Amino acid sequence: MAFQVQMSVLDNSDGSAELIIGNTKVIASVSGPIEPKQRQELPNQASLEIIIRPAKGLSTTREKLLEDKLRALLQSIIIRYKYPRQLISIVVQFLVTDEDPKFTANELNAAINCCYFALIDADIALYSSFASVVSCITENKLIQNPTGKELSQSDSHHVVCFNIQEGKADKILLLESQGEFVQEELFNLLSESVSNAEELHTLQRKYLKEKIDQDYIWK
Amino acid sequence: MSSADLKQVSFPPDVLARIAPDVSLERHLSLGIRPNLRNFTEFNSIDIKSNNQQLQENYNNIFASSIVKSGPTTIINTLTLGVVENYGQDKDKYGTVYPVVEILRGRMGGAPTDEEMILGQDLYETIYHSKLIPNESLQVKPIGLGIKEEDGETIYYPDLQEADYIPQSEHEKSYSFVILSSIKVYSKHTSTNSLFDLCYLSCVDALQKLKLPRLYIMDSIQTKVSVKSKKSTTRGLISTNKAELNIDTANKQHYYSIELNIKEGSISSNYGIVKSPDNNDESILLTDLQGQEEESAILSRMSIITNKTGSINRISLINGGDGDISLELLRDAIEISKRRSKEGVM
Repeated sequence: MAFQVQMSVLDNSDGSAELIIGNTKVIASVSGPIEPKQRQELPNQASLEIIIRPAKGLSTTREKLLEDKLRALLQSIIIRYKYPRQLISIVVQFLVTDEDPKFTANELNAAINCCYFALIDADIALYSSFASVVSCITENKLIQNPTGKELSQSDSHHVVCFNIQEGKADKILLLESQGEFVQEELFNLLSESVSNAEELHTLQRKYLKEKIDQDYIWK
Repeated sequence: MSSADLKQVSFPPDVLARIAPDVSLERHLSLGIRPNLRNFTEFNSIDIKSNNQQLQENYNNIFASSIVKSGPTTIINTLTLGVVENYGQDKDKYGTVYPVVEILRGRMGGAPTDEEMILGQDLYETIYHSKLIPNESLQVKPIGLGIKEEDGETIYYPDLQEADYIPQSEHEKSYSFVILSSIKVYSKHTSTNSLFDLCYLSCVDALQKLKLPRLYIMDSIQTKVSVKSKKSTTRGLISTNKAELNIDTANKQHYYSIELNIKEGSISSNYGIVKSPDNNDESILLTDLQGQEEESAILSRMSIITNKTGSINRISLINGGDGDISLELLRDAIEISKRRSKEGVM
């Protein structure tokens, strides 16, 4: 799936990225490792602070749930013991969203993929690359990268995030499935998503290479 | 010759569970048992009491209730109703409940914690996406007309007392019910994932017992409303002709059951995955996480909702810790969930 990304867009953060994926536009910033507040400090690893802001209005419990899902994912990807007693603060601001507020699939997907670039831009140590894809099933038909309208008409929708090692999708890091579906549909969807995630990762690499080429002006 | 005498420090099990939950968990697992003394794939027994008569009799704004007990954890879920006007065309085919989760820890009040907010939002989204409540069943039936008579108040409904019902004022607005769920959690001992399972169970159970009331407006719509005058600071009462919708709680025989789309055996189960202490390549599947050690040492988790027909309503999987969730383990977990849906939780 095609996406557009721009890295280092914010001057005052350690890393940032702006991503347009599908009809969702999101900007993420990473500040870290920085000094945490005393209550956030962990003696042997970095603590994470994740803040999600919606495109419209103030953040609600909906964003809290999104933050929780994103934190669960990122805390296993960031090599946290490298930054003991430090804080990594990640802020995700949605700019344009394309789904009913009762759905969060497209937003979660965009947030995960945007954080990937922002974390790399901030030079935070990661265990592996990761790529997330979203799909939905409508009347037994699998739709990849659905629009907000397709999501609301679907029978079930799924967000899958894989970790990528040596260009191959290795294991499932996160799976959020809602709706009504059967086991066979799910496993079929997972195997379809593998190639999609790998395809996404080749694009990720392309953008990262471009960024590094521009970073070193003496090339 | 003197040498420093270093004594081995040992901790009682409950202290070790707090300061080194991973060590405590590993030691238990190598003995083949979990810290909460259950088997690896054993679920905690659950006790459900629905529609507690006392609750409904004492508070006539409670329309269904469910009490779920699992070990020392007790959940009291009460459903109340709200009414909203239908504006325009409602595109949504399904409704949901609006839950407020409170985990009581013996402290007074305060803002809701993240855990409470996440649980509430998760329930709200899951019930919506599982398509349990068709919007049609939330539609308010034709509104009655309350008439003051000598021997008290009688309410006439257009569909029940057709002969007696004289339409005086056309009440054209249409209304829908909103289901509000207040969930109180006492003595929380389970993990957040298990708590979601229990809350979901209590919501599904209470919804199935839910009976909706009829609504009516009074014939003489003379309501006194307090207004503040610009000229003086005292409040005065004036009459308005604003009709007030009332819930007919006096005639419980008119209550009707809500039509739902809940498949039998809709049960949420949760799993944790840890590396086997004996063999590092092997992962162990634990069901229904409970206790300090499992809460903080297990980061790879799954939460699955299945029903008796074999379909799945929700999977939330996070592969976070050192235990790897393979497709086989996911398949195993789905199998266990399906079996549980068939056999029930009791």
